[in-house]
Amino acid sequence: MSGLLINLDNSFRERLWKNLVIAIPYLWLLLFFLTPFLIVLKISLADPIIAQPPFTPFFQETVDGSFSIYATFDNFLYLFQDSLYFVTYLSSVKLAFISTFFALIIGYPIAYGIARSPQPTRNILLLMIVIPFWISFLLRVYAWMGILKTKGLLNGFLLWIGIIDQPLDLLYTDTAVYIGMIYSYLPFMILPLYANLEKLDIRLLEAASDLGAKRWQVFKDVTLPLSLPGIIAGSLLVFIPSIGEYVIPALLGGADTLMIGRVLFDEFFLNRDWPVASAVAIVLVLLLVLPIVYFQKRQSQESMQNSSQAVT
Amino acid sequence: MNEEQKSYIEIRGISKYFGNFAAVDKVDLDINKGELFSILGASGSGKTTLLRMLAGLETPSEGTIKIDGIDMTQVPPYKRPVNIMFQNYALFPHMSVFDNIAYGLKKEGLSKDIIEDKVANILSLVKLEEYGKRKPNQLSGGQSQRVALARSLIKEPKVLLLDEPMAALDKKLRQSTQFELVDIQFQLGVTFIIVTHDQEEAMTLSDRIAIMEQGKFVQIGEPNSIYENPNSNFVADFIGNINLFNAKITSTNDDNASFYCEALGGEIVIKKSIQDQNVKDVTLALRPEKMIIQKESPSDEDTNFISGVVEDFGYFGNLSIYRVRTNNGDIIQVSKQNRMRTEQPIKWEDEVYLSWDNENLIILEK
Amino acid sequence: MLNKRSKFIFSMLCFGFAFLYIPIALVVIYSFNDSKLVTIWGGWTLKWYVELFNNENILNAALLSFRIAAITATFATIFGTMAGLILARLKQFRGRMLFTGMIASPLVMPEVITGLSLLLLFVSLQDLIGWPSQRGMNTITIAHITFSMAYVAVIIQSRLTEINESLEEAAMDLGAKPARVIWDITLPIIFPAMISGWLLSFTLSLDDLVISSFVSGPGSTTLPMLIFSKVRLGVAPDINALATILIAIVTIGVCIAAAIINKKNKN
Repeated sequence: MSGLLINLDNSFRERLWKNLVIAIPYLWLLLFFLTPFLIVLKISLADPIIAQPPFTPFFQETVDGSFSIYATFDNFLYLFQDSLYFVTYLSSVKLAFISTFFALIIGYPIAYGIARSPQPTRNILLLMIVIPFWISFLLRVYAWMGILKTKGLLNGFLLWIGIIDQPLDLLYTDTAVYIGMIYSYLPFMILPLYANLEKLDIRLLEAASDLGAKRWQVFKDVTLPLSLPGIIAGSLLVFIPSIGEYVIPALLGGADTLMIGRVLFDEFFLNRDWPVASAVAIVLVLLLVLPIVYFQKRQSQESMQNSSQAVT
Repeated sequence: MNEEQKSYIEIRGISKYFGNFAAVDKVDLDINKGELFSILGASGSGKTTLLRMLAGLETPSEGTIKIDGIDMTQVPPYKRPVNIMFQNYALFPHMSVFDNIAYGLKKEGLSKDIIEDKVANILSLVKLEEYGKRKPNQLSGGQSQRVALARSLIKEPKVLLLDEPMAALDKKLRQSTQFELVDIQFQLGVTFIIVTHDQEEAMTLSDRIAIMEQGKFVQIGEPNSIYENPNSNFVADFIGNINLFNAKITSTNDDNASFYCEALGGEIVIKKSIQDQNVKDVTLALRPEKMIIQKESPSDEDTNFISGVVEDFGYFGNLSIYRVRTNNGDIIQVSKQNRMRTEQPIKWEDEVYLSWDNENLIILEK
Repeated sequence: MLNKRSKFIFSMLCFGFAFLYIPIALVVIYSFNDSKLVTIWGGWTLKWYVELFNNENILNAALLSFRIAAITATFATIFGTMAGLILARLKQFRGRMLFTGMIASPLVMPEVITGLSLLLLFVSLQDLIGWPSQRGMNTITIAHITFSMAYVAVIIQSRLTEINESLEEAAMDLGAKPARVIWDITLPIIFPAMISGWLLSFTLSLDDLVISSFVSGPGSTTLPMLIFSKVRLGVAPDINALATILIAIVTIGVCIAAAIINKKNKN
């Protein structure tokens, strides 16, 4: 199909105008998104030195005045030799995975409940899911510090009702990180699930129960399989940002909470080892490529389906 | 129609490829000035793509389009003397009815007074004088359609293209709107090209119809000639109901052709010569209303008839349609006007006789 | 009567919203607590608000953050709208694949990597051409525009795919050139989406800690950076007060927006 921007009139002004619309965002992204990324790749192949900037140049001038390329895989080898990094990557994936799982367990019934509530209530509930989105992420994570402290509100409450007689160590542990992650990313899980469940044709459920399925069978046989796209979208939206998370482990996690975003941050700012930090970043991207590509493939498939439905 | 007269719209060898798929495949078409022309086809037949090429919204892969003698093939839509009424009307939701209709005139740079005059005129033509200030979402389906019509007519295009103009209306409204449309077309004398999948709509509205299938025209002609003289099995089946029978040519001379048709009871002679001597297998087609159904055996010796049993029938008030199973197992559709209130109706399992005039048989070469 | 399943769903809804809102509510309540300790209620006070408004560091950081956010939102909306238009309406041009990838990637790229890579770019640029001579508000703004415009592009693109292209074709058919069509038809219709994009960019920019930490320079501490350095050491009552003010602004803003949308839908 021809589109609005397909040039039908090859007049100079129209062409200039169209090229400008493409060029501005294109060049911006080339300069400020792609180039930086290539620089990270370049620096990950350099040696650290004590200088400004603290890494060996990619092009080096040799004795005879020509240039040679200097590249080393030492930083990547270092990541594999030092078990700390390997353990940290694994631990990031584990933390992200478990957080995603719990976000799904908690988010699914909420999304379902919202999708099944009558219209005016539904909009209000949805609005209430969205509002935390707009409130500072940092402040929402911070809010948990006061709750999870040893002398915090949760311990105070638990002591008061008598479940425990010794305050629990919650803040600065992995548990706190889990809570923070689930709390922060829950809306990311609920919204795609809601969007999916809201579209679910109630007559399908009625048909299933008309054909003799019990309530839980209706759920298992109809609702759950049909909501699978929503489950996958929500899970990826929680999983992907969780892996590289920095703020939550930095504020709620303990010294032994290993997350790759935090290690990268420390490597860069505390150790000032830019090449290793770059190598950490490259490996992190490689780790994310698979879920991201999968996610985008699904998204484009879905939008293709939607647009083909719109045509017919 | 005068063949010598130069046609108003000349389409020559137009194709549109999407990848390897030919949506429109080397189509030629001539349309006369002031004609109400329909392009009829199923969805995916390429009719909308052809319309969009006429509007300039799609660039042809090959071929030329001339309107009033001027080559329009590469002219962008905003410079063509052609306007289109979209299937979903495409009324600008953020503009009032007045602004929607005035949009095209504003782009021409006309003065405010002239625009107001013209819009007022066209609003009265489509009987929406009071609706200028409304927004599109405050209009009914029929009103939206009329606003869309007014908007596409206000620039007095040489050709108006209508993409499924009735598709969004309900059945009752559709009929009255059809007549209004023909009326407006007659008043303004603008050439109309209508794209539709609805054969009834095409039959009632058009001066001529082109039937499109897989990117090509299979038949072009006036509605009654297409109905009475379809040139292929496809057209015969596509337009209205029809019974198709396999037959073999047994002999042919300058005046007559003889056929053997099992389903119609054997030997059939039709006053028509077959040009191509190689043709042996043909299809004989017979419309349901061209047959008479009765319980008594026809008395006239010359009349062709076969007998059968009523398997099924539908009562439509003005007429009834019967499905009759003949003695050799074929199903034939017959319609019957319900002329008498007191008539003894024919029912299921009734033994019936079907008779016809051989001149009503259509010979379709395979 | 509620059946068993409805009871379960209902209690999950209650639990979910309690989970989402109790921490926020507690921050608001404790911003009025006279005692510095979280567990002890020392009576109502406004002293943290007074302290907040007397803290020049916080006010300067807030001012800087708001300025960055406003500039970011404006440019991100312009660039993002262009990008969204390209994605939705220009089906083929050279380099489209790369463009699509570059728009989608910032959305999923971990902040630490975006921050690191932009800092390395700025350092390299400074080395090569002497610009930016120092990092601060300008570099933070550039970084924020880059990731915010991706969000705007996605919003605009999804809005445009909802809009039938025949609206734009109709305008062209009636004599408007493509550039004119965008101005007369496309932009007015996607204007609400552009507003959402602007607000989202503003919030994202105002909220960003990690990327700003990488690309900021001496003397340009944004509000989240200041908050982070304070709360890293523990709970701070004046931050509670600040959080309360921000929460109030957001809640009122979202409710107004919802009311406007609601009213529009009813018309």
